[in-house]
Amino acid sequence: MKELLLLSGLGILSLVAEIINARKLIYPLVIIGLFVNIGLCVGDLGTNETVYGMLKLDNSALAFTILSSLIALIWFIVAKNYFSDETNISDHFSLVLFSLVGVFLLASYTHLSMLFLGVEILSIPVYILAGSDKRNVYSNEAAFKYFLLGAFASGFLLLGIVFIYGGVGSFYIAQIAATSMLPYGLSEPLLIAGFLLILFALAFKMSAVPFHFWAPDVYTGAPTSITAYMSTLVKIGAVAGFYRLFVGVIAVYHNYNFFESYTTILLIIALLTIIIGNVIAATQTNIKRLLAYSSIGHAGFILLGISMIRPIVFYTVWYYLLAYCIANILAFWVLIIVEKQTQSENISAFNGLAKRNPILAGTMSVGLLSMAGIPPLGGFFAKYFVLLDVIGRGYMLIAVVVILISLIGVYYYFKIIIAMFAKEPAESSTLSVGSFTKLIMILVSVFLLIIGLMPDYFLNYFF
Amino acid sequence: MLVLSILIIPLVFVLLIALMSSSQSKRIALLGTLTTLGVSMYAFSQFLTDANSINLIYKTTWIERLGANFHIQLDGINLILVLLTTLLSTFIVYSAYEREIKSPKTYFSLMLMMQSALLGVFLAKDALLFYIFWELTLIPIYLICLVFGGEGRQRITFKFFVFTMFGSLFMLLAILFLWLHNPAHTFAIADFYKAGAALPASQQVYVFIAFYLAFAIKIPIFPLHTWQPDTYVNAPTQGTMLLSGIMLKMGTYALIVWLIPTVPLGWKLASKYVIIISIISVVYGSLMALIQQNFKRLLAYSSLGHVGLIAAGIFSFNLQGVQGALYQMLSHGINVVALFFICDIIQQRMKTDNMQALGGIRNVSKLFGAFFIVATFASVALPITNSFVGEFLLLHGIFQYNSILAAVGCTTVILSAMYMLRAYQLMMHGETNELTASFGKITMHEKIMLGALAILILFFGVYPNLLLHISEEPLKQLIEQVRHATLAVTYSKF
Repeated sequence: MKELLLLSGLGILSLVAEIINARKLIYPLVIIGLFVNIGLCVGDLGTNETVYGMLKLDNSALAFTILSSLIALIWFIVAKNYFSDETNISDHFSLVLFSLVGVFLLASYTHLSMLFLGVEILSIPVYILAGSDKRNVYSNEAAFKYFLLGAFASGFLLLGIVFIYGGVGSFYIAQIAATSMLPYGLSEPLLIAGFLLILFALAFKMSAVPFHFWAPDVYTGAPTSITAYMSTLVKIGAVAGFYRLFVGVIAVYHNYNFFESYTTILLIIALLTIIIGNVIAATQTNIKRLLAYSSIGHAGFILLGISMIRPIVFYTVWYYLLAYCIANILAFWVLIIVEKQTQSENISAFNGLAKRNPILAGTMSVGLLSMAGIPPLGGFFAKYFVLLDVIGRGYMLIAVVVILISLIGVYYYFKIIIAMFAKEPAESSTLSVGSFTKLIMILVSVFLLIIGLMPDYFLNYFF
Repeated sequence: MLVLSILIIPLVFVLLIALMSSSQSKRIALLGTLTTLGVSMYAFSQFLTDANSINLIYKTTWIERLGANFHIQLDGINLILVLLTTLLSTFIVYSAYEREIKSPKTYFSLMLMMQSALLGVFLAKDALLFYIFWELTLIPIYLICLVFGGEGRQRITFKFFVFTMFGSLFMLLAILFLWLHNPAHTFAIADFYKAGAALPASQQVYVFIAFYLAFAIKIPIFPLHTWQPDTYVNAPTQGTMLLSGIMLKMGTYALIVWLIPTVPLGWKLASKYVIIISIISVVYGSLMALIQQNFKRLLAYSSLGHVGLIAAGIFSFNLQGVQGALYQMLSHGINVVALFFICDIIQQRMKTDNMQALGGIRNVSKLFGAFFIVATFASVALPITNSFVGEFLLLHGIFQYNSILAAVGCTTVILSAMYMLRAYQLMMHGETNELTASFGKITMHEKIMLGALAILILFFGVYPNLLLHISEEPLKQLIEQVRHATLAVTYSKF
């Protein structure tokens, strides 16, 4: 409850700050607020607080909330320039904070209306943010496309919820889990249709194949800072929503039969997402687009993790998100800086970056190597846990396919690394960044290394 | 703790390099490698007095939920590899001592990181730890080759990276598989031996293949070697030394410790094929070396031939074969570092390593010729050089496995004599031409380097028992364990 009040309070506060002319205060206030939010979540661990029966703050909900607050915290530092460049600062602050409320709802709902509210609260601010570069036609296109298709997906979601209500007579996940245990529960067509529709809607938000067509255009058109936001926090929200629903339904009675019927569909979606995301990413020369497709590939890995879920391995998905989001935001951070200076999103903009600014090149490499799954960075154990589940369930062939596909990942991430380290820069001037930025960059990189070296240490808090 | 300090000291010196000015880097790096060498020597003496000393083992829980421990230990087998790494790292850092390097800070830090990761590979007694160190070695060497390499380095280093990554991903798959089939769910090497040996034969073969891919690419063995010649030629001299001197020994070491004892039945079923492939690698490498015009490329192919023989000896898995392999790993490391350094000297002064363009260098610098001939003899395994001991034992081991294969393998001795002596003659003898007349005397730095290596070549050639004695007992146990595992299964079939 406290977290919910804090986040929405911060959002309202930043709207008020515009009126009382205290814009300068918003930024530090938000940063402190997010720190406090993480603190509150850590304090609530193990309490299993419920909010009017609609939300339940169990450890996994808090783990996702902490993750989203942490990433939002880093994102606010990354996107500092985005806020200073724009005129309507406070609107954007409040939009971002409200969408964080959406992530919180998705991470903790026990009632399907909260799932719908969460998705909408998360998405609507992002539609606006995607179009926040008002004079850029691509940004407008991105917002429009995202909104149109997103609204469609929301329709699916609502329909799915209604179907489930028709089949079960309740919106509560616990009730749905109980019904699915009944003999007719599994074959109830309304239930099946409902779950499939919800699955499709959330797969859309996660940009999973074949619901991914919006992602590259929207990611490329939106301002880069917002792309960083979309490819991390929106994914956290969607994955949390997924996790809540499926784990919620199976974990109460360990009803794997119910789950098996969706595993095949999830598995197909996951594999297609991994393959298509990675293969198309390998052909891109625009880095923003490359990262967009690579984020599709990672969504596939997360879905693969979900489709293999077992009560003992719930942490797989969370850990993958943690490693992926931090690595991704590092890569986007460097991209934002380089893009601002060179006015280009092409790979050639990164040529010789190691000579122009070794710290930027190092940070980018850490992010990319982690996403490529090279130990000892966090991305390695993320992939490792997923593979462990896959092999544990006996899908040896899938494991081999996934491993070969991740080699393609190595190919396109290394294209950027080679450009940074081995090519000559187009201009020899150094690209300087502030010492605060440098410090945070190094800290976040080291954090990524630490979660890779000691994954246990972080997981023990939550799972 | 002593063994942990061997791993950590290079990293401490990396920090020192980062803090000090770049003109100091080479001194700090040399000091770092010398310190590590000193500590490893001290560990060696500890080992001689008490092989089970508490100082030689460090174990702590690492990832509890996966059952992974941070377990490093010095035993009779990896002691030789640790000595090899610390010894050669010192030479490799020293070889760059008087060379122009564009950013020495990065270069020397990467070398020290590489050293630490390599030591980790050899010391790890936990499969996950082993895998992580195995992958960790890849990043520094990749950057050394990418940033400091020659023309076309982007394509070549990338090929190298993708090849090795491809192999190690399959190793990861095999490790995961073994972990799941291990009732204790740990990565401890002893549990892996048990879990692997308990698998049915068909699964053991799959695990064998997955591991073999990773190790054979690293070594490299014939059809998987295509990354090797280009990478060796293209990498900076120190990179080539690291790759051929130490890094490929990761593969051969892993064959002995991680592959064969883990899946004994897989080895039993696959050994005749993999030995034949290794022997093909020997003949192919030697023949290719015979037709090269460039000295560095010749050395790359000759290395392919020599390590093919090491792999064949290991796959025969009898005491002579494996002892010879271990000894030859050390000898080969010393010899290639010496030869690549000689090649570097020639390249630095003549700006070419095309053997036809050179000639008569011996007339200009007699001492250089003398050092060169020692290294050449070591490479062709002449008695009283270190390689003689290794290759003799290797061929002895292979002979016990199959005499025809040993006979074919013997051609390496003849062929290597042909190409090495041809190279020596072309470059050192004959008329001194305009180019080689400017060769000049060799410097003090080069004298120290080559002199020390020559002494090592002769020392290990005449006193092999020092190290053979140490590895004998643990190897006997390992071989007995594998023999036992294969026998037990053969009986159970009836």
